[in-house]
Amino acid sequence: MVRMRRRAMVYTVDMMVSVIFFMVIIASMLWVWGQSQNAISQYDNRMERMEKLIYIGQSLVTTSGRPANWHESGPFDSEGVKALGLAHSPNELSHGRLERLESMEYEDLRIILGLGAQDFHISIEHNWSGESVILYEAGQHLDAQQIMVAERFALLNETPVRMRIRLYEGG
Amino acid sequence: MLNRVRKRLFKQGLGRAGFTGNSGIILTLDAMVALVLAVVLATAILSLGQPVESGRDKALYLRACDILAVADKAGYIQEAMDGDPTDLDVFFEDVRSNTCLSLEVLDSEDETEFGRDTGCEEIGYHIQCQRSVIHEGENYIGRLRIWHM
Repeated sequence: MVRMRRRAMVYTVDMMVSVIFFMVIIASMLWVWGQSQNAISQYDNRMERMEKLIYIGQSLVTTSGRPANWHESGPFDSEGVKALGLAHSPNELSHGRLERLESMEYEDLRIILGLGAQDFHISIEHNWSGESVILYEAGQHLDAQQIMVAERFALLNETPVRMRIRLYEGG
Repeated sequence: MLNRVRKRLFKQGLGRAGFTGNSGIILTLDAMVALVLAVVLATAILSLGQPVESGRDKALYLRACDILAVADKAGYIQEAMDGDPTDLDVFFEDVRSNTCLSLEVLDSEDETEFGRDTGCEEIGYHIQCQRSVIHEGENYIGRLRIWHM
């Protein structure tokens, strides 16, 4: 009787240890899984923003926009303008379009660039490797900790300029 | 004790072979579950790096195309082909930003007509962009490579 109880005790302790061990493994697996899912979701969001940034940069630097004379019309009509473009030919920016961009309302720009509630800043700089001179800018310049930046190069009046598009995180 | 278990299992039709067989099945299932979990986790972890690489490559490719287009349209490549690479060198220095750049201008027979680089060691991997370059009425292929360290 005593021997049986002892054997049963051994089995119970054995089983408890194995159950605890199993639970620890399962719990750590679930934790790792949760962490991975979280990281994947963050990466997906970052990728989506990066793609958006690349698309906006490409559209601004290499196209004239749709319609091509969007900068010539009177008051800005966000429904009439399908896409913004700042170039009269690929990688050659036009002053007229840049001036129009600068005068546009921030909210209108956000809508037409497809940024939703996200904050952004676009600048056209000359002499960027020395004392940078901002020729044109649009959007809001914020002191955010996390910024995604796209850099594009183009000509403005036959002079190389750099376009910087900043997308602020958390918007 | 083990014998008693075996006898009971034998009575239940599992027998000695069944007993060891069951253990084998349990181990196989364990291994399979562990393998599936390992594959799922490894895939999840590996997939974290891929989007960043593809996004970075796309951005580098567009940068290479911008640099080549500006150098061509501003006439820096043509000037350099005529023997004055000053503007091209200055422009390359302005835009290189921790990367190495190398430009090749190829003729219609794919022979290098002109070459220029930023003079740094070309290590790591490169992304290239090509476009047509016209110089003195002749058609060439301009090829710009960005070496990313």
